[in-house]
Amino acid sequence: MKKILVPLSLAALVSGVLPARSHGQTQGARQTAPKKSDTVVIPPSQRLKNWSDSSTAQTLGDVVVVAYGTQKKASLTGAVAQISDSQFAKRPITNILDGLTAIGPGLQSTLSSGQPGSTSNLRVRGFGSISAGSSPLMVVDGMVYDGDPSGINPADVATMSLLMDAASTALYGSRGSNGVIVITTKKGSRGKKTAVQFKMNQGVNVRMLPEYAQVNAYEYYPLMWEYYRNGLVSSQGGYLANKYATEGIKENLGYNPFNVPDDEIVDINGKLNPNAKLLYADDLDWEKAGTRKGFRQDYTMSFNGGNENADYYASVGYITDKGYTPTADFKRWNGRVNANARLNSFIKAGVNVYGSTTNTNQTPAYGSGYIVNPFYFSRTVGPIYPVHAHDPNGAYVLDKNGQHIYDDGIHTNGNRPFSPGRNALAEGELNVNYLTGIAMGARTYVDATLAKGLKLTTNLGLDQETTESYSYLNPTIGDGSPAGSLSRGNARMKSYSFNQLLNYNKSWDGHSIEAMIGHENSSRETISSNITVRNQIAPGNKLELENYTTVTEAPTSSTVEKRIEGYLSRINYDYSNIYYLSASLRRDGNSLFAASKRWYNFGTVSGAWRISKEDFFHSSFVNDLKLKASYGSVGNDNVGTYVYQSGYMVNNNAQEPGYIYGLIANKDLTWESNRSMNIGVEFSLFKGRISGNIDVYNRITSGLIFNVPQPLSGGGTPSGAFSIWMNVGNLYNRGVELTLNTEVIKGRNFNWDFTLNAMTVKNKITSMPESIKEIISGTKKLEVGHSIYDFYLYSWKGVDPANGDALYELDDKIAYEDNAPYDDPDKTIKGVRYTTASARAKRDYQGSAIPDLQGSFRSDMRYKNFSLNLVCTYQIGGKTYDGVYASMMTPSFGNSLSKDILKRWQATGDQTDVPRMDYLKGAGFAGSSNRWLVSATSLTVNSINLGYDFNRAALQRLHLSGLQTYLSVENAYQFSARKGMNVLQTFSGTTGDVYLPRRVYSLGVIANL
Amino acid sequence: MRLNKTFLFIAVFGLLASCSKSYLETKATDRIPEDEALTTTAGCWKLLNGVHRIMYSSQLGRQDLVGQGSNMMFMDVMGDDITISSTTDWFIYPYLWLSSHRNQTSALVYFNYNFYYEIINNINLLIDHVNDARGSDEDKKAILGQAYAYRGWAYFQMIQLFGERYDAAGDNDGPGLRITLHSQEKATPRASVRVVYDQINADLDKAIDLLGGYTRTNKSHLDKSVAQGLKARVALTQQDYQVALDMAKAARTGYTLMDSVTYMSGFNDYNTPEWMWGMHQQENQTTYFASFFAYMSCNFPAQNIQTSPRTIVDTLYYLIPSTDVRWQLWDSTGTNHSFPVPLDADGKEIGARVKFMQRKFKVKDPAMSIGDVPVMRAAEMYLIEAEANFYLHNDAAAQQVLYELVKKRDPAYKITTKNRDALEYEIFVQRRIELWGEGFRFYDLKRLDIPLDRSRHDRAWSSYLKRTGKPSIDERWQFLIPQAEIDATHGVVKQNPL
Repeated sequence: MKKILVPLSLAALVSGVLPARSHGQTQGARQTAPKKSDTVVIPPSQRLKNWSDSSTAQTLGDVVVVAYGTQKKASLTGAVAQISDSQFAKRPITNILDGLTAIGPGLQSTLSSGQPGSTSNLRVRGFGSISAGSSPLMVVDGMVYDGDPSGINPADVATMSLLMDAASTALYGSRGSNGVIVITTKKGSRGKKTAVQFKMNQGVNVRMLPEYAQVNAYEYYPLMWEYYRNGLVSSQGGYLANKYATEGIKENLGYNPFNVPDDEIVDINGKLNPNAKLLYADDLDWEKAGTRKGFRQDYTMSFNGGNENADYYASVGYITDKGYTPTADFKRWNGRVNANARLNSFIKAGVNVYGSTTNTNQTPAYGSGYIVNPFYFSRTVGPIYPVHAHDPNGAYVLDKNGQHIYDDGIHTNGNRPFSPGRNALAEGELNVNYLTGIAMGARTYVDATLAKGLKLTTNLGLDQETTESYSYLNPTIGDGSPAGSLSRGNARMKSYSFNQLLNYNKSWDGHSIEAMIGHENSSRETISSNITVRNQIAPGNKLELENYTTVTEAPTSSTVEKRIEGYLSRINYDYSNIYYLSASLRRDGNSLFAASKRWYNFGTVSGAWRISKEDFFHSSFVNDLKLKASYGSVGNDNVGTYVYQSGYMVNNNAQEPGYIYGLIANKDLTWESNRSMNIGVEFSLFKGRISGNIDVYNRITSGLIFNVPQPLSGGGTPSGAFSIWMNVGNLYNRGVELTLNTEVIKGRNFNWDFTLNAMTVKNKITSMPESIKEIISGTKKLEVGHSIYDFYLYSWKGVDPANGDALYELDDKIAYEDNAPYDDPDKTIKGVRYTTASARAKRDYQGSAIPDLQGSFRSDMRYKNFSLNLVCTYQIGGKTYDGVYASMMTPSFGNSLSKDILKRWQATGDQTDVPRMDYLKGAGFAGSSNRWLVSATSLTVNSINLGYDFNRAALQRLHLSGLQTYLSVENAYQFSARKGMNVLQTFSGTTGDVYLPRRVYSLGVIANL
Repeated sequence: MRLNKTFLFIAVFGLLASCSKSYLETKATDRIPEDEALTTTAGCWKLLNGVHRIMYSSQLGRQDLVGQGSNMMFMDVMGDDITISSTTDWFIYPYLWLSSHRNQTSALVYFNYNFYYEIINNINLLIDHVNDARGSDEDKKAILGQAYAYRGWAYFQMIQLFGERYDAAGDNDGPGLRITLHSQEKATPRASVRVVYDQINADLDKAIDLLGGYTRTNKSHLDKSVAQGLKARVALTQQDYQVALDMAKAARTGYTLMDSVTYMSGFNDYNTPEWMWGMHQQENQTTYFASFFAYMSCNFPAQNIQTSPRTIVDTLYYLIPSTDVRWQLWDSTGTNHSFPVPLDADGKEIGARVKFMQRKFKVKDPAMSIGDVPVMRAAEMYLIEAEANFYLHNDAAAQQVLYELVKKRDPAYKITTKNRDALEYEIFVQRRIELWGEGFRFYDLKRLDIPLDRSRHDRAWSSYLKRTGKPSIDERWQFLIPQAEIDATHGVVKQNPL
C-alpha cells in the first residue's frame, strides 16, 4: 500500500492529493473513487451532494491539513478535527470563524456579537492561561495569519482544521499552546475545463435574544415610590415617609408620564392613581426604537479550472451586511487568485494572492456604563421615559420639518435621572464610528524535487492590513457637545513569514519514513497614529481634520514589532499502516522575551496503533480501530510586546518636556510552557454506520503568566497601580472528548446523519507563588485547588422576613456589630449571625462558570432533493453571574427594574429572596453575591438550513450543471435559564451590555455553470 | 541530475543560514529606557515635569478622577459648605457618604490612595538618582527640594484621609500610612500617625532648606514659599500654632492679594499674583470631562453642570455682606442671568439655574473643559496666620491679619472688638467663604474635630446624612484602605476599623 507523502500544505495542494473543490464538479458526475487504496479522498462537498455515499465511514481515510503539511487522517497520531466547506457553505456567515461551529469537541466558542463582521472568541481544550492570551493561533494557507479574520471571504475557504494537542501544534513552538486553526483556501482542479460558480445569499438580521423581562410604567411608579418611602422611613417615621414619598416621588423620577398631577400619581398608601393613563404609551419602547431589520446580501462569483500542468481558482465577492441596530453595518469586497503550475519535471510553484476592502460602521456597544451604548441605555432607562420629546400634554414635539425629535432628558419641569442630557439613540444617529480597511497578501512557494524522495520547498507569506478609523462626536448632544470632535487613527499591520523546508521520504518493505527539516523567520509590525481635534467648523463636514479649529490631544503614534526565528524538524514513520511513530522538534527564538530567555526547544513524540489491521484482529462489526497517544511541549507567547523593557513614558507638563515611570519590566519573563498529553481511540463500526473517536487529554501549563498587581503604595501610572508580568504558577486542563458520527437512516430516498461532539473540561490551578497565594479579580478568585473561572462571591443568605433586610453570612474576620453608634449592619436571627451589608459579608467559592459537559451536534437529513441541516451547541452545568440582571434588581431612580422585583419584601412576614427596596441600601443589599448566579445550562440552535437541489436533467436546458437553493436561519434560538440572558457571552460566565448576537434569516442560491 | 545537485547545495545552504543575531532584538519606541532617563539633571527635570502633569491627569480612566482636582472636589462635597442640587450628580455618593470612602473597593478610595503614591514613587526615583546625575549642584538642589516638598505634601494629603485625626495632646500611635522612601521597596506595615507626621516634617524641612536659592519658571513648580506654606498647613493640623504662624507669614511674603476684578475672573489662571501653586493645563492636553472645571465651573456644558450646578449652603452665604466681592460669587435667587450657564451650539441656555449657584469657577473658553486649578493661594496663609494667632492668644494680631485679607475683599470691612468666641467664629467664617470649592472643608472639619452638620441642607436626599459624630470618635472620618492594597501586600498593610 503506497502512501502519498504530503509534507507541506501548499505542496500538497499542488500535488493534487487534496480533493478538487471545483464547484462545477460538485454538481457534476460522481467523484471518481480514489485510486490509492489508503488515501480515500472525499471532496468536501460530496457529503452534501452524494448522500448515498457513506462518507462518514470514510473519516479514517480523510486527508487533513496539519502543521506545515497535510496528512492522511488514518496516520494521525495527534488530535485533529477538520471541517469542510460543505458544512458551512450554506450558512449566512460573514466571519469565517463562525463556520467552526461543531467542527469537533475540542473547541469552545462564544456566540459572536451581532455587529456584522465581528469575531467570536475561541478556546481549545479549556483555558490554558489566565493573563496571557488564550485564543488559538490562526494559520491561513500554511502560514501564520495576523490579519483580521473578517477580511476573509468564507466562500473562498475549502477546509478548516483544528489542531488540539501538542503532537499537532509543536511545530508552532512558542505560539502553539492554545491550539491552532488552519484555514485552507480553495484551489483549481487540474485538467478540468473552467467551471464557474455563482453564490448568492439574501437575508435579514434581527436581534436573537429578547430583552429581559422588565416592569412597565404602571408598575414602575408605585415601586419607586416604595423605594423612596422605605429610604425615608429611617429619618422621617412611617406616616411622614408615606406623605413625603407621595409628594416627592415625581421630583426624584423627574418625569410624570401620566395624565394626573405630579403629587397624585401614587397615593399615600403607595397605590397608583386609578385614573392614571399614560400620555405617550407608544413611545416607551427603547429597544424597538433602537433596532431595525438589517438586510444582508452576499455574492461570490468564482472560477476554477486548469490543464495538465497548471490550475487556478479565482473569485470576487461582495457582501453588505447591515446590523439590526441602525448604526452597524459591514461591507466587504474580496478578490482571490490561486494559481499553481508545474514548471518542469522537478519544479512546481504557486501563488495565492488575495485582497479585500472593508467598510464598517460600529455601534458603540462598549459595555455597561457607556451612555452611547444603545444596549446599555435602552435596557437601563426606566419604563416611564419616552424616546422622543413630548409636550406636557403628551403630544410629540416636532422639529421645523415636522419630525419627532429625540428626548434629551432635560426639561424645566424635571430631568430624567438616568443620563440626563443624553440619548443613546439620538447620539447614535448623529455620531460616526467608522472604519475603512484594506487587506492584501500573498502566499507563494517554489517546490523543487532534488532527488527521488527529496524535496526543497520555500514558502513566503505576506499579510498587510491598513485601517483608517474615524470617531466623530456631534456638537448637539453627548460627549461632543458643544463643539463637536473627531478622532482619527491609522493603523498598518504588516507581517511576513519566510521558510525553507527540506523533505525526504522513503518507503521499503512496508516501512515508510518521511522527514522534514526547516528554518523559518517571521515578523509582525504594527504602526499606528492617532489625533483628536475639536470645534467643528462646517456642520456637514464631519470626517476631515481641517474642519476643526483645535487639536485637543497631541498626536500620538507607535510602532510595535514582534519577530520569531525557528528551526523545525519532524519525522514520521509507519510500518504497514499498522504502527505509526512521529516526532517533531522546533527550536524557537522569540523577540518578546529578553535575550537570556528567548530560545527554547519545543517537541513532541506520538504514536498510533491500528489494531484493526493486525492479523489477529477479527471482528464482524469493528471495521477500523486505532489507538493513539502523544506527549509534547509547546508555548504561549501571548503577552504584550516589550514587557521585558522597562522605562518611562512621556508626560509633558504643558510646554515643559516630562516623563514618569511607566512600566516595571521583568527580564526573566518567558512564555508559558504547556505540556500536553493525549490518548485516544478512533473507531468505525458496522461498516461505518457508527464511527468516531474518544480522546483523553491533559494539558499542563507551567510558568503561567500573571500580570501580578503590585501594592498601590508602590506607585503606578494614571491608569492605576503597577503590575508586573511574571511566570508564576501552574494549572491544568483535563478532560474527555467524544465524537460520534452515526448514519441513523440510510435509505434510497432518505438519509439521516447525526454527529455528536461532547467534551469535559476540568480546569484547576495547581500552584501559585508564595508571594501571591491568591488573586481576587472581579467575581473570581485565583487560588490553588480551584479553576480560573470559579466564582468567589459574598455569601447570600436570603431576606429577613421581619423587615426585608438583605442577609449575608458575616465575614468571620470582621467583628460582629449590632449596636455600632451610627450604623448597625449586623443582626442575629434565630441564633444565627448575619450582616446586612455586603461589604462585611464573607466571600466564598460559589461554583464554576465552566460547564460539566459541553459540545455540539449536527443533524443532516436528506429526502430526495430536499435537505435539512441543523447545528446546535449545548452546555450542561456551570453557572452564569448575571450582572445585567443584578443591575435591574438594584433599584435606582430612573433605572429600569426586572419583573422579578415584584417579588420583593413588602411587609413583615413576607418570605421572599428579594430584599426591601430602599434608597439607603442600594449597594449593601445588592453586593456581588451568589444571589446573581444562575444555571448556565443551555442549548443554542446555531443554524437551521432547508435546502433543495435541482435535478441535473432539469438544469441542462438552462446550461447549468448544478443549482441549489436554501432557506437558512442562523442563531435561531437559545434555551437558557433566564429570558434575555446570553449564556455564551464570555467564558468567565458573566454578562454585560454588549451587542447581542443576531439572528439571520436568509435565502440562498448556488448555481454552477 | 547536475541541476538538482545545485539545488541541493542551495537547499543546504539555505537551511543552515539563520538570521543575523540582531534579528530578534527589537526595541520599544514608546518609552525612555530606565538606564537613560535619570543620568542627567535635564532628565531629572523631565521626571519632575512629569509629576507636575500627574497633578491634573485623568486617573483610572474615570471622568470624576482627575488628579488633585478630584481630591479637592471630594473634600468639599463631603463637607457641609457645598450642597448638591441633583441626585444624578457624579458626586452624589461621596456627598451622601454612601458606598464611597467607606467602601474598600470603591474607585474613590483607590484613587485617593494610589494617586499620591503614584507621585511618591516618581519622587522617590528622583531622590534616589539625582545626586548621581550629571549636572549642576544648583539644579540638583532645586530638583531635590521640589521632590521633598512633593513627598511631604503627598503623605500629608493621605494621612489626613486614612489616619485618625492628629491630636497634639494624644499619642497619635494609631495606624498611619506605609512609608516608602525609595522606589519599589518591599511592602512594610503602616507606620503610626505620629511617625508619618515626623516624616512629612522632615521632608518639608529639607525642601525649605534646598529651595532657598531657587526661582521657578512658573507656578506649576514648587518653590520655597510653597514648601513653607505646606509646612504651615501641616503645623496647623498638628496644632503647632507657632510654627504655623511663622511659616504662613514667611510663605506669603512677596505675594499680593487679588483685587476684586481679578477675584471675579473665574479662578482659572495660575499667573494670578495671589496664587502660590497651581496646575496649568493647555488645550492639547485636555482631559475632556475629567476636569475640575467639568464639575466646578458654571459655564462648561458638561452634563453635570447643566443639571447640577455647584451651590453654597445658604447659611454661609447669608453671612457675606453685599459689600464683599465674594457676595457676587453666588446667586441666591437662581434667576440672575448675569451668572453664566452652559450654552448649546446656537447660544441657547441649556444649564439649569438653581438657588445659590456659583460663578467662582469659570472656564475661559466654554468649548474646553481646561482651566488652571489653585492648589495654594496667599489668602490661605493669611487665614492660617489668623487662626494660629488666635490659638496662641494673640487676638489683636489675629484680628489684624484677618483685616488685611478681608479688607481686599470687602472695602467696608472693619476691625471690631470681639470676644474670643466671636473672633474664632469670624476666622472660620472667613476661611469657609474664602476657600469655598478649593478642597479644604473635610480636612478642616477633621482637624478641628467638628462634626458634619447638614441640618441646613434642604434637598430631599440630604436627609440621608444630616450629621456625624465628632471626627475624633466617629470612625467614618477615616477613609478605608483600598482592598487592592491589602491584597497586593498580602495583608502587610492592614485595614482601618470597618
